[in-house]
Amino acid sequence: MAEVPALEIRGLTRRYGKVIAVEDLDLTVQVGDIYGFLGPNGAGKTTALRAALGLIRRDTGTVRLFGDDRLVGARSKVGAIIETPAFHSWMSGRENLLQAGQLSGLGGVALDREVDRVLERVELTERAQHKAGGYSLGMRQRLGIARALMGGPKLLVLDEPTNGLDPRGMREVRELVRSLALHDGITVLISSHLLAEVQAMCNRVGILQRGRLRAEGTVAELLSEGAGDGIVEVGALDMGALSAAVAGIEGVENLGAGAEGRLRLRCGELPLYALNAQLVGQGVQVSALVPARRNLEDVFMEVTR
Amino acid sequence: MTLAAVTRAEVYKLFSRSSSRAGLLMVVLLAALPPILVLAARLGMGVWLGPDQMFNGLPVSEYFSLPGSSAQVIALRIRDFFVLKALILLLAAQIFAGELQARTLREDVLRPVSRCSVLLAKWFALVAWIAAVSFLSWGASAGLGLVFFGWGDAWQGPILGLFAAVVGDAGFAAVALAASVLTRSVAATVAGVFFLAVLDYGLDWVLWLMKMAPMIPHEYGKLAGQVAEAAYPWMPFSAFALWRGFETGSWGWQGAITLMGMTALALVVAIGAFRRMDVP
Repeated sequence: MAEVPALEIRGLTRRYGKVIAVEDLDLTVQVGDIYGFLGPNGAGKTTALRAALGLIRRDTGTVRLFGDDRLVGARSKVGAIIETPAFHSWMSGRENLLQAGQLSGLGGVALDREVDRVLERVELTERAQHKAGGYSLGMRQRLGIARALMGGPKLLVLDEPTNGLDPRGMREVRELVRSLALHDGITVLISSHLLAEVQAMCNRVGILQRGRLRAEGTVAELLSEGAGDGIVEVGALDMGALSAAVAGIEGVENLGAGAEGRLRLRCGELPLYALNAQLVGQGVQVSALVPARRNLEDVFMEVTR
Repeated sequence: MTLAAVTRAEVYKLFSRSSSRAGLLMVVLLAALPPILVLAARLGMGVWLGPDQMFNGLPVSEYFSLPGSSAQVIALRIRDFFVLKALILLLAAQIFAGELQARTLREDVLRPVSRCSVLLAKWFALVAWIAAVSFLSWGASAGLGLVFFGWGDAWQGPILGLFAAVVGDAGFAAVALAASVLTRSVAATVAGVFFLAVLDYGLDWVLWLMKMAPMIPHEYGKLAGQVAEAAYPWMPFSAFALWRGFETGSWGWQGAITLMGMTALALVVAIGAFRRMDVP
């Protein structure tokens, strides 16, 4: 029997007046996935996540968490950070976690142990007694993850968890999320703008635009789509001569600047050796001929064009 | 997930707020002040006039006395002073609208706990705070009066009045919490409840004037007087002043019904609005 998805959204629509924030969204996060939820600003990612977790009403659609559509009870299996995590500033980091633990049904020694565990997991034990109001942004983000981990969730929903962090903070959060997924076996749904990070971290990706899911699949599937267009990057000692030569080759399209000063070309069916021979035949001294790999950014730009 | 566990968390949170601690301390100190002042006056008089100055067969200083039974009445009067109501209103605004604005309410709603439980826990926490303030201020005033000036006479009425006052303020807290949910703003909650209080005060005056109407030599005057007499005990101002009746031994059951009705209505409205609310 197939395993019940961690999160299953069907036909979710949410309007704000005449504005449709999310329209007829279908999304499935399987157990074990690290699912990247992508989309430009205002695409409806946060609205979709809020509706999925029951923070806001749905106009239509159903949401199931581990097969259960009673979200209140099912939330015991879910930890979430929606936008910037908020804390009671007058309470210590530890007290904030104790609050969350009590609301998750923990108490007594088990609660204390759980707080110690999550503090250690996010490396905040030493600062746990300090007031949360004095925490840096990176520490707040880590405390937010610690709070989301209270009670041992099976699904972690992270909405832009690296927003506003410096490179070191981003790296810490990225490594922590990866470790939670790989070592703790937690299913992760992460919404982010950082496409390279999502590509490196996630196995499945959904791309949302104007409230609709435009593409969904494994990272490998999305990267392979359209990869047979014969896009190559060519370097030459004289780039002017290269551009002039390319203009004279039938079936080759100049796509402009590529990486490391190379020229990006779409060759269609023309094999690389034939392209090389024609360029050399026109006196171009070719220094590099690299088949261009699509990355998630290319896919994202195409889908959201 | 039990309501008791959510309430425990909410009580801890409320009592750790500096505003609730400062408010509690202020009310207790205010209640402790009268016996201290009376004692100071007695000692001062004793020093100033000397111990032999008599009036009506008693040393003058003996007239400055506030025994425990009287001091507790003073504590009741002080807790009814607007300071406590203002503190309840401020805390009710902070624990819902304030948390909504600070986005911390979202973190509660993300937990496996119903919105009904979240809101009821907030109300229970407010009631716990009201009870703590009331009993501590009563204890401070009555205790000091007892130590400085002895037992005095009647204790039962004021103690019943104290319990009734806690129940009355619990009703006020429910109304304030409902305003906090409906307005979603700390400032609007304070303004809205203040407006309601002014309306209540105005209604009190209108009915009081209507009670005088039978003096007008007209059949409508008599009718207005009858209407006012019948309506008066059912009004919110009578409900919130229920404790006075307990203190004096003549409480009106109509006020108790109004108080229960208002409390239940406020909680039902608040829970209904919160369940439909988008939490940012």
